[in-house]
Amino acid sequence: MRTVPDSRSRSRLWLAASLVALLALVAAACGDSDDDTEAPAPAAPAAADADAAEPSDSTDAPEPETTEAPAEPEGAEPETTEAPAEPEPTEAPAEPEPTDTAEAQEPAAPSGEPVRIGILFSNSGPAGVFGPPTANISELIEEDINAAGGINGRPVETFLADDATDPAVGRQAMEQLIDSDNVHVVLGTHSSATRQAAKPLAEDADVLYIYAALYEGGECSSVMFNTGEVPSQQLAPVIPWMMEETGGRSWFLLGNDYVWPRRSFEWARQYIEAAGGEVVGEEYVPLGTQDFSSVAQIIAGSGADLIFPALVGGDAIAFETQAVDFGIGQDAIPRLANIYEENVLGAMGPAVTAGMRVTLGYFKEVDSALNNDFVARYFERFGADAAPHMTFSSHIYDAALLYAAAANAAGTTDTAAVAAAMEGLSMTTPTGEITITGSRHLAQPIYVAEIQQDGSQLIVQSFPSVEPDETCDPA
Amino acid sequence: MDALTLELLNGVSLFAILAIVALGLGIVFGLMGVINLAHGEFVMLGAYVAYVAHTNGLSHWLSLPLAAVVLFVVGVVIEVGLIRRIHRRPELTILATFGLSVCLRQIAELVFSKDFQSVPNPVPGATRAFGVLFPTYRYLLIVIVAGVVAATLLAFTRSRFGLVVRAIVADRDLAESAGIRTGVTNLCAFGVGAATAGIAGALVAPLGAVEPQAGLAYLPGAFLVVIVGGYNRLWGVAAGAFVVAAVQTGVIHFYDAVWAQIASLALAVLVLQFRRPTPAGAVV
Repeated sequence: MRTVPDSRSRSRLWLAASLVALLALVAAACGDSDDDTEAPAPAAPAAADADAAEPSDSTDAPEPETTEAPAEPEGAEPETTEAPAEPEPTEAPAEPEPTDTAEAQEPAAPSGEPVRIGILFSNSGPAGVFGPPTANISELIEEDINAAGGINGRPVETFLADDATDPAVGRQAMEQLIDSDNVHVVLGTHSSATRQAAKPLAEDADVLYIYAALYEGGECSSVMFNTGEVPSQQLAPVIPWMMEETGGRSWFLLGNDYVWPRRSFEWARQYIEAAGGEVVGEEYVPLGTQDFSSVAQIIAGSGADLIFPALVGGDAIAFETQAVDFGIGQDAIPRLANIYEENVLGAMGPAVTAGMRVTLGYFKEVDSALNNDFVARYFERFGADAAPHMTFSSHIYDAALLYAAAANAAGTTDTAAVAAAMEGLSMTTPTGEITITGSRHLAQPIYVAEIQQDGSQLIVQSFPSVEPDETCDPA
Repeated sequence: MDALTLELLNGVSLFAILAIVALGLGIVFGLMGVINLAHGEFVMLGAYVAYVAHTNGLSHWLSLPLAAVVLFVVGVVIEVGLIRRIHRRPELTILATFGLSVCLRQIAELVFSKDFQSVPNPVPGATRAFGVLFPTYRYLLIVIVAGVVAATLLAFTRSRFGLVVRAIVADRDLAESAGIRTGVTNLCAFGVGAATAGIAGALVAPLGAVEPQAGLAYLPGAFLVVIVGGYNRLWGVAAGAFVVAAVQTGVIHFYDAVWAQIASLALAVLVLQFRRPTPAGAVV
């Protein structure tokens, strides 16, 4: 017969168990589970009023190379092309750039040792839901770049590595890409926490690292380019537009408690005040919040005309579904969201989402010939029920094309040479017209989609070539 | 005045959610000494039962007993296949149930994909009572949770099963010597714990996202309640949920949600400092 655990040993056992549980609680509370795309990042540079820091003097540099043809651009190396600093809103989405020049001469089939493109992305964990479209797009990257003649006559090959939405795993994944797969470049779409963990490896190995996820801004490194949307791009033109569109002027800012919502709200406050509006409430909730009843009451009592929710994943779904029953749904207080994407919106359902506006750098509904063809090809290739192509996968695709064009222009895959060729590089992709800025970010179109009664996204406004309000001088 | 009424109702509904989510954890931990780190995944599976019921056109209310039955079966299978072999070794149960939680998440991902799903609210809108508008679904949730918790407490106090359980908790080996089949009781306790988690999952499904990772968010809250309330008394779960809900709602009201979370964690630390050992054999 075994000994009976007496009450003393039971209480010791209890203590041990409690410690484990507390540890888990603390871990959860400290927000290590940084959902989704962005998370702790470096201190913010760019003083709020240092906008238009980019001098936009040399405007009309050589025209961009076209998407399908990163073929020999000898001599015509684009010089620091700064797109117009002041985004000019247009009702029509960016017009497609004809690509006929490239189609004329068939590029020679690439041969030789492949150029290796690593893709660091989240395919599991909380942000794993964004993984499948990026995995799909990696196939199209190989196909399209190779069809256009490859890089310096060599074919490209992509290597995927999953960070499991965990910075420690992300670091290992980066190590694998660099040391085992020997990649020439890493394209990343993952949290800022993973970027911070993985960046030193890319710097040490002198591997070019293009971070393509939307994020809070402020990154600057000699091996890095950041091509995702930053808050200044998503908000500067859209906040005044939203206020005019709805007639609302008092805003409530509700975000998850980490760096990306906080930085986004810093920018938002500035643009709201510049447009003559006011912020009547700013609340943050921990990641993984399930009950929004008290927050809903605070919002209802604030008298806000508009809500800017910077909530991610399940938190967004919980807030929006509960908000309707508390009488502060979209029909009562219109939303302008900067991360709600199809997956999250789909789970909320059209009864909750109809009328919401979302500001992002890409929607698959972008109406240009280039994009319509691309999206049709995407669904044809991966099936009608494939995880939809979206801003994260689109930015990875663009990053690959930018890299290919720069490496072709440089005639090498040497990091410093390609980085030099990246600056000022401009092209038209399914996203629209994009240009690498002197701050190593991307001037890009910003679209506003309005959710329709059937849950579909309709682009109601687009702003071409919106400049990021960033500064970076890695030298 | 109305603001206070609303905040009270918010507190009560949060209390109900916390209590139903933590109930199963309290049962399994209190009666078996098993620290079930897969409890959040049981809640997640309960939410998926509600989702499957919805996609098949079943009423949401029907999905509650359905989730209880499905999760009872899942619990029984897991008890027989895993917990039974290690339940006297707490450190092993921690490791094993952690592994189990990873497996259950991955299985959910394989079956349902990573995508966020949702269950529509069966009674959208709000009801006017006590002079304020408050979501109808939350009123019903409070009533249902009260029913489930009361039934569980009655089962553990008034039934022969409850008597047997109390005997086992007081002294497992003596109970065995007296001819009580502790194996069967463990099986029932684990099954019932899982079943209440299933009901919790189905109940909260219309309030948020249904996804493979959803359980991760519920586990910390459930542990918090069990720590604050005490581990081998079922009343403790209710008391713990009440205290945590009161602290959270109060701090959010007067300060904000981030401090509310810090306050509840600090509360757990304080309670652990000053807790007196519960007398052996007390279940309710």
